[in-house]
Amino acid sequence: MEINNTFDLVGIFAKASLITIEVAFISIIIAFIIGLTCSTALFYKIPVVKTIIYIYVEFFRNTPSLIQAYFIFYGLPKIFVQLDSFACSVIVLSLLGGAYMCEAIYSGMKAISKNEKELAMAIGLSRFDTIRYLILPQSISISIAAINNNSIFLTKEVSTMKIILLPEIVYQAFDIISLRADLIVPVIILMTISYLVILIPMTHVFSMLERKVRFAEFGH
Amino acid sequence: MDGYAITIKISIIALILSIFLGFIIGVMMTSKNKLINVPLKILLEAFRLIHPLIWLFVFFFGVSYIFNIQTDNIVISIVVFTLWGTFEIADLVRSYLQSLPKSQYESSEALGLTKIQMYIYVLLPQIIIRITPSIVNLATRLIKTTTLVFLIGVPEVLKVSQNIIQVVYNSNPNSYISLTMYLFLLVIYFITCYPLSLLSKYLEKKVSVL
Repeated sequence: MEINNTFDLVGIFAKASLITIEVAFISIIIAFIIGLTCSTALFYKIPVVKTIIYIYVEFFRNTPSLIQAYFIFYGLPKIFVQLDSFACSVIVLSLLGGAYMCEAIYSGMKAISKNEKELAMAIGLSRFDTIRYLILPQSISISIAAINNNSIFLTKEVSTMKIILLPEIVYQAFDIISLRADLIVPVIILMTISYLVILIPMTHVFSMLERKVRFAEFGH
Repeated sequence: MDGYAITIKISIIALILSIFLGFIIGVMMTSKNKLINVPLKILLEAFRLIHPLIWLFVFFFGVSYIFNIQTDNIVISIVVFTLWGTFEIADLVRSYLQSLPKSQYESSEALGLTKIQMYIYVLLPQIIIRITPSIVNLATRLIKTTTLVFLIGVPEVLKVSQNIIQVVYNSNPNSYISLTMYLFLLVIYFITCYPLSLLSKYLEKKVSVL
């Protein structure tokens, strides 16, 4: 890697930020889908599936993402296929995020009163329609704050994927410093700025989204 | 197993220090003085928005670069996790303090208590019970995040198991050691954290009855 001036550094960090955003975005969406499916299954208390989901959620919530990543990246190839670091980080973060999202959405679902479910049955809504029109809109509105927090958490968690060689911000920073120890201060500053550039707009977008989704509660 | 001891040591020291400091800073954050309030808020946001990994990195390389001294990686990791935990707990303390009814403040003023007496005898005892589940929850997160310290070279459980994997690979390149070792690590962490998260759930239920 050639580093002649500050612009090269900025270029490297811009590229790394893009990768971080990409991984975060894909895994947030997959995690959300996993969360929706799992919490719906939990809501209907499907016998065996319920237990499996419970184990999955508890397992991913109670082990460090770092070791999950190591396990999938270095452990699994022995018995399964070798994945590249991008796919691997997306898998780890999606599964991790899915567990958190499931928890968040399910706690929103629990807050909905039982009456509503019975009412939906009474007016003849099908199971799918009940979920689609009654349960999901309400539970997402209740748990949107938790979902946003989880998304931000996932974006920050991308930095741990450094250890499986995903060329994101922290990886690049370590890389540059190991080559050029004199660049340590600009690298640290740039690294911090990159995260702020990603996260500050994100928090703003999320708080706007929160207002939008919860408009029924805010009333405007 | 030595590695596991270091992981637990860092987590426990950081947790105790951050509970202590967190309460102090949490109380300070409720003050109306802008000079105290605003910098603390900025620090809080900084520690929440930026991943502890980056703070570890900044402290580890930054301190040795600026002061030209050899940094001890265990001390650095304790400092970083203490700061991180402090601000998390401070924010919890602040939100719980603000949720107390205003009459509490006024009545303790009416009784002629000083500010310090008010916090020690009236306000903090009330929130300590309510805050415990969240702190236990934080402890789980702290233990999980301490895996990161191996990146600055602390010989904790992950580093030790990597060394084992290395040694085994050198003698027998076809072994399944990486799979079993990482699985073992996952199980160790699960055994450590799962009781804590159950405890926090249990405490939450107890507190909600109050």
